[in-house]
Amino acid sequence: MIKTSKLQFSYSTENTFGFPDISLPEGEHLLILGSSGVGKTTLLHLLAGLLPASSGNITIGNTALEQLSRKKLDAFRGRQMGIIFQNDYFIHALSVGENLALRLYFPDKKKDPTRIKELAERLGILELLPKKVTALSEGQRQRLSIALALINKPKIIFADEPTASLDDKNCEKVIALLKEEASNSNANLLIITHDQRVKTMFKNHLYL
Amino acid sequence: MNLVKLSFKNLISKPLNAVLSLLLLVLSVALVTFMLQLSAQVKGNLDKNIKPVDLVVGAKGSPLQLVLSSVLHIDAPTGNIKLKDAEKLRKSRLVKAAVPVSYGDNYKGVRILGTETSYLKLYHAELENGTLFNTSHQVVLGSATAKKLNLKLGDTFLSSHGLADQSLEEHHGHPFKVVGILKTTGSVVDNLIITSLESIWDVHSHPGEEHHDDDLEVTSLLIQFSNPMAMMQLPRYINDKTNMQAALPSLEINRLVKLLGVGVQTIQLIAIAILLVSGLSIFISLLKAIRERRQELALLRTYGATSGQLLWLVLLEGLFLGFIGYVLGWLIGRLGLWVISTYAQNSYGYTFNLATPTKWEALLLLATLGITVLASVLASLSVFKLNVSKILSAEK
Repeated sequence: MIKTSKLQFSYSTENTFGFPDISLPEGEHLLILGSSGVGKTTLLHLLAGLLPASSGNITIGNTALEQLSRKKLDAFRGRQMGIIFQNDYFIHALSVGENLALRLYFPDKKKDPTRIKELAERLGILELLPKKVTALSEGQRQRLSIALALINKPKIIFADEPTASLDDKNCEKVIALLKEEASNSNANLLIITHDQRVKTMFKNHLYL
Repeated sequence: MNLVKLSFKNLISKPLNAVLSLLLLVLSVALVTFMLQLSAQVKGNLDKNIKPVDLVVGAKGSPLQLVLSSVLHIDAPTGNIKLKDAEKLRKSRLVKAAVPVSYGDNYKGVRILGTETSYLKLYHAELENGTLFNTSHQVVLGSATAKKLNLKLGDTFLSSHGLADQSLEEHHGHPFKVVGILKTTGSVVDNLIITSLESIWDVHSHPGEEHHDDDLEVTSLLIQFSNPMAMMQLPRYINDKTNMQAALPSLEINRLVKLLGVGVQTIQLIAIAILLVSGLSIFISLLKAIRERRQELALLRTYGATSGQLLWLVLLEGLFLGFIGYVLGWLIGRLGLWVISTYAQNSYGYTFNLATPTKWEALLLLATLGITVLASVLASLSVFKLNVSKILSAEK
């Protein structure tokens, strides 16, 4: 469950973003649309607690983000959220499997090799687990990004332009995969995009 | 997967960087441990060898040379003294024990020392097998000598004139016979060939000549005092009233060690300077690593890692560097000691043992780790100011 009210963020006094209120019940999906520069990524970072809001409130489940200390916010994000960034970021010194294991390690030092294998199999990257992340193709990197966002069984999945670099066929596949994974764990799925192809695949839209 | 594993994988993912930061650290640790051991062991070795001898009496010249030649057997003698003068000193009530020693020959570079069997008692040297010499041209070998020259009981050899291997002149017709081999003592005795004074006189006399007691000479007389007062009186008496000189080994060797000490200290200071520079190089290399891995660190924050955990991650990497650097440096220091030991064994008959770590080396480990911890903490302060949002929304 995500709720925001009167959310504002300013990079500087001239550059202030105001965001429409969001109220998303548990398990619902939301597509956030808007052209470049309207603050889509900023909204995502606010919701994920990576940026502090200038004013307004964000409530996730029963937790008000602005009331958490920095350390608690880090842990909360680690437990409750999975984020697929616009660019893919990995730990380059580690293999695919080790990247997934590291994602599980924070913030509760969890170990779950079965979960890693099971998810990797579902995403078709099982045979990539021992490989270096630098050896992956574009499509494989995309799937690893998704696996990293899902491995911790988050309650909210954020995806920032997950289809930007994909052709029509793969675009559909990735969205279907995200929807399926979100539904499996009854998680909220928030996708930020300016990709018109995705529009028809969601019923909840928010225009910025 | 955990932080320790991650920091180690981070370290080895850029091996060239790691090697570069290690280089200076290894160099400084190697230098410090090597010099610490070397100076301690040289001092220990010298002390052990001069301890049995309170005073050396020999021909006038440099007192240090007299001690180096007659006690440590590493320099040329200052000359000879008359045996009858030495005998006179022997009777003094200030003298507990006196042993005359005489040089002149070598066999394959090993000195042949003419003396009395009481010389062996000074160093508590005992026979491993065979007997002591009792007639001319019988020798006992120090344990290292026997091994080096590959001589056994009953073997014979011809000596060469002088103390060095290079001398061309051989004494024909006077073969020496090995009658005894000594146990290892860890002192200069191990590296000598020991025979009677008569043997030395015989080798250098011409056929048909008789020994005239008045003409007999020895190189020097090693003296043990009977009481502490002797140290005040005897050297002064000898230096003032006779044409011989008296040298106190402990005094001369202390002077020598002090002189060497300046060199040792200089090298130590250089090594410590290198250690500080290596701290700086670790600092710079970690700073660079943090810059290069900013996105990865920001990513870890989104995973739920705290800033403290990121600091710990960098700190662990620094500690790995410090520890690996210390261990490698220590090993190289010991390797150096071993090389020097092999060389000194051949040239001076000194051995350095590859001693277990000392208190100073433990302190050095603490200092090394302290410096790396300081460098890592300073380098990683920026993780507290990591702007996760900005770093992760920037175009790659």
